[in-house]
Amino acid sequence: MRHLRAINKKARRIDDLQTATDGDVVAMQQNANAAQRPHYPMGCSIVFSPGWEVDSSGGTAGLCQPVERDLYDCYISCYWPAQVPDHLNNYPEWTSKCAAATKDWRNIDLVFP
Amino acid sequence: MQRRDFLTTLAAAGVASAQKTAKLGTLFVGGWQKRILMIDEATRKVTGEIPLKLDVPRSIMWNEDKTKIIAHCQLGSGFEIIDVATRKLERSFKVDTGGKQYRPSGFACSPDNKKLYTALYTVEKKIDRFEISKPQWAIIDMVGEKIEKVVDLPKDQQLRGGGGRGGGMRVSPDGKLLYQFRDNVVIYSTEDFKEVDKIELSKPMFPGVERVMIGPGDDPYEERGTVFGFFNSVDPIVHKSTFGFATFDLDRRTFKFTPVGPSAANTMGLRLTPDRKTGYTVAMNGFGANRRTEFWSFDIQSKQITQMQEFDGRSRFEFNISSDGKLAYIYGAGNTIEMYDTATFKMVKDLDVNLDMTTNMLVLPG
Repeated sequence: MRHLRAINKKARRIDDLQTATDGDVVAMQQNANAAQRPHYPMGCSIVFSPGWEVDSSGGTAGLCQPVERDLYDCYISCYWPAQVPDHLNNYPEWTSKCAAATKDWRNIDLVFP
Repeated sequence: MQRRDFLTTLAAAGVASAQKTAKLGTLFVGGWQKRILMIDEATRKVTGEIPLKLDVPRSIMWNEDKTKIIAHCQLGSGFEIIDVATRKLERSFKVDTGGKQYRPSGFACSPDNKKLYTALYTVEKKIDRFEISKPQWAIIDMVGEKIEKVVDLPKDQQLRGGGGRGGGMRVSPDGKLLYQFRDNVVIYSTEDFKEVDKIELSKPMFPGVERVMIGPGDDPYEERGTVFGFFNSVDPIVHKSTFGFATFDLDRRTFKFTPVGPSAANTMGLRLTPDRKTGYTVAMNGFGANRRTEFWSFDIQSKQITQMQEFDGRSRFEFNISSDGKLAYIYGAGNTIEMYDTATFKMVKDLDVNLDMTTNMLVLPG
């Protein structure tokens, strides 16, 4: 159907409806005209997953392996808004017993908001 | 040959011969939670750590004469000054004040060690919201331990970030000018950040230059006033992307571009051996599971690639080379430093440092 174009109002409304129904949500993308990929507009926290399940392309190949490697570098170096306790204001010591997340992740404190 | 040129050549030869004898030294890298690790290059072992006072370090840099390490932390936009000779924390301070927080990105040190120049955002706490400023220039008074001056960037320069961990900026040897390397080289006065000059690279120098990428200023052998880096250009007809070497003499404001070959999607910055004859970088092509990571080595004299070798690059990493240029270090985003022989690019050691690294690595020759 790509070779068909809407030429009157009614056809354009049908076209818009179709796009609104099937089209991807691009409202929070920085560049709505960019090539369409699975997108996670503001990091993993906005899709309310615990984080680190998918990379910015929607896959897993871009994640650190093992995934725990990403824990500190993610939100300290990259400002990736990961779902971790607020280290700067409320829970500065939540990882003080865990220097290497891959090895010591069991020592990370539980945080109760 | 004029007398000045002759003396310059003579001095360069002296420096070069001193650099050829560079010995293995010490690596410094910041890590979780408040530490700077020290690693002996000769034994390839962690030899100690320097505890920090404020917070997790985000970046570390040399001061001008490499007698101090300046660590920048996120909390309170803090700075911790470490004395290199004694390997001890000397002092710490925060520059956030009251309701104002600063988010700096990239630093350049003044020749007298008294000031840091940075690009930052100011986050101001209001009664019902946080207000984030436009990108700004700032001078950090390292003696008075405060922000000395903040100036809004001109509108046409309001691009995000200041070049990462110290990249993208250099101060002239006399301390009067600040050079910012991006799509153009913009020269600011360090007094008031007024634009003094602008060198539009894409016009007279090399057609289609898109961006210049210089190192983060942590090369232990880099001389003030001389900057060596990569540039990318895209020709306007068939849009072919090319990369090459860019050489800058900040004293004379002369620039030289030498194209090398087709661009990689990403490169990690150029690292040079002590004798400045060989360069190394890591190039990445592809995306996600299809990404290829390669070591590239260059003959700097002839400006040619001499070797390319694929390796298993971790998802995110940083790159540096040893004091003698014989090892390549892949580190960051984790607790291991992979060491590769730069002659063969085979891994010779995977050093577990027992903490997650959060900063760049500084190399102090022996």
